[in-house]
Amino acid sequence: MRLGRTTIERLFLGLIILLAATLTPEAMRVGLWRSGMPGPGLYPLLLLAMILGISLVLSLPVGAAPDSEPPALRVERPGDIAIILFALVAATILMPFLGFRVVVLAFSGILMVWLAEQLTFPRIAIITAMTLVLSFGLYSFFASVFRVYLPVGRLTGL
Amino acid sequence: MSDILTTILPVLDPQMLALLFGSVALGIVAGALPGISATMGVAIASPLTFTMDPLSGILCLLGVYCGAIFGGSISAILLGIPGTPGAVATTFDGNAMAKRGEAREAIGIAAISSFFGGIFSALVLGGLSYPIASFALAFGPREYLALVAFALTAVASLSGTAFLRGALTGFLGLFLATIGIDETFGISRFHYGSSYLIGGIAFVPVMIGLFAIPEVLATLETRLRAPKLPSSKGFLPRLTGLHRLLPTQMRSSVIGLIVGAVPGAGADIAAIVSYAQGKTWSRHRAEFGKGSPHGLASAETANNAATGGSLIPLLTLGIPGGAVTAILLGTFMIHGLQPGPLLLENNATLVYQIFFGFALANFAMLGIGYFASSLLGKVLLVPQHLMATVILVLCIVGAYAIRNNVSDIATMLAVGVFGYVLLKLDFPRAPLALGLILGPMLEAEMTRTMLVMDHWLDFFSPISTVIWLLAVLVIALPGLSRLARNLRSRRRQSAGMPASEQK
Repeated sequence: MRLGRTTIERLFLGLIILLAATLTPEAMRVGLWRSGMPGPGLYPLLLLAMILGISLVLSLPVGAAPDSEPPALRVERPGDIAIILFALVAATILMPFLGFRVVVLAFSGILMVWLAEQLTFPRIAIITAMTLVLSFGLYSFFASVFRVYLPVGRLTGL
Repeated sequence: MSDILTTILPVLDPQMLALLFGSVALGIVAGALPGISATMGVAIASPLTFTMDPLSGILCLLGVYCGAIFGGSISAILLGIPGTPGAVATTFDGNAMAKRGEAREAIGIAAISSFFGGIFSALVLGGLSYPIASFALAFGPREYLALVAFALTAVASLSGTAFLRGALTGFLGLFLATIGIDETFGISRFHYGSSYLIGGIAFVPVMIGLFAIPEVLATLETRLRAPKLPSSKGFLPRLTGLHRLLPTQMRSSVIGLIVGAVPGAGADIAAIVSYAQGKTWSRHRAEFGKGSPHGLASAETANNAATGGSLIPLLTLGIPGGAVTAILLGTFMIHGLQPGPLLLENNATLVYQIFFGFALANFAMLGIGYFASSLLGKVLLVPQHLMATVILVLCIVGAYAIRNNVSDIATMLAVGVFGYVLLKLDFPRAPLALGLILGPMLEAEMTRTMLVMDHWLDFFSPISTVIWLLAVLVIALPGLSRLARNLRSRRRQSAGMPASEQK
């Protein structure tokens, strides 16, 4: 089933409306008015009301002429995009366990190999060098120059 | 005299100069690569500056900002693809010059014009900041509330899409800022038991997620092949008759500075407005669009003059006018400084060091742009997949570095996916960034305003009324200009003008 741009946009706005409605009870719970002054819930409630209102307005069908339809929504190379996002999620989850150096070594290596259109020996050599620089090189650089200590894995010690 | 020396000597320290030079060079490289914007460059560099002293950190970011705005002209000239949004107008004449075999001269003109605009804005920044800040000392909660509302409204309205879309993302940003501990009552909101959310949403992972991740994904979607660069003889640009560009550069500097100071109107709008004005008023307007050095100078002078212009409301009023200045505001705050009128009162030396350093950054940009013009094009030959991977790794480092917390990487990723959806559905992201950074200020000023009110009319003061009216005008402006265009068109139709001659 293919979804047009307008449908996707309405789904997105619907999610925003749902989120705003879900958060409203919390705004009321913390109190709208306290000790004779605006409470911690009043300002967020006003914001949620605006978010809800604007999302509703934007999701309403407008009687537009056929030639003013928005351009179709296209995601080129959805496979590449999905791989990158999956790799980022995996890297985030694994980082406390395997550490920055191991995770980035794997992450950057897999990504550069996947995204490269042709794998020749010189390219493989460049990719190998770059993964080592990005993982071990960056770790040492940030520790020594910026005193930023990137995560060390509980399981690997790296 | 000794006061002046005390102020400028730390900026002339060799280490500081090396840092400034390096950050400008990095900015130029970032700006030159299509898919890496000035905002992304500043967002990624921002967490790396937190371990530096305030002056070094802020000058580093200003160097990246300055460099990136000029750097966008390189791919605009060589490939006809703007490296940053501010270089769109540069493509009109810059690429035509490159196709004539004058690529190096075009980059040289871009470097000199950018320098002119940047130095002009640095001088005005230094001259006007104190008077504006002194005036702003009289501002109270009503004025600040109106100012913040104006900034958010302007950014939403001038974002290039329908106002309501910008308003929605702006309100989302304002709401994100409420997560965590309320500053007035000390009550935690919207954390739902999460110890991570009790501390609030960190600004830096959101910036990186919002501006870096979507751009990387969008760039990988297009996957440009390695470009064929136009040839150009010699090593240094041959620049004769530069003095003839002076009137164009002076006009464009003023336009760029004024437009840059308006919240929501950044280097891209400054360049386009300046180019359009040049096409109207310049003696060489017939050549615009055909490889005119005046057209190129109009665009490049204005976009760099806008960088200094955008610093005026940030430093004097504490109000950022766009995504880059929002990140700069966040950086100031992390270093324990609050931009605004009191910054000039209490830290005048630091502020004038920043002005001086900003001027020096423009000199560095001129030097690199002019003498390395033949090398700068090689930057465009870096394969996109390698660059994308490097940027993603730097994003991970940047998101982690702010609080040494892996959960911030998760925040960056979640916001990155959200930002990608916003990009695809044509919702502007800058209002969300501004909403997040200005949210606490807006809430605090709103609460204070309500406390001082005895009657609803007390909501307005003379200054705040003017600012509110400006905010309404900014919302109404697109509609008013559409109305004016329709009226003009109808008048021409009734005058019997053929449709092809009606604009």
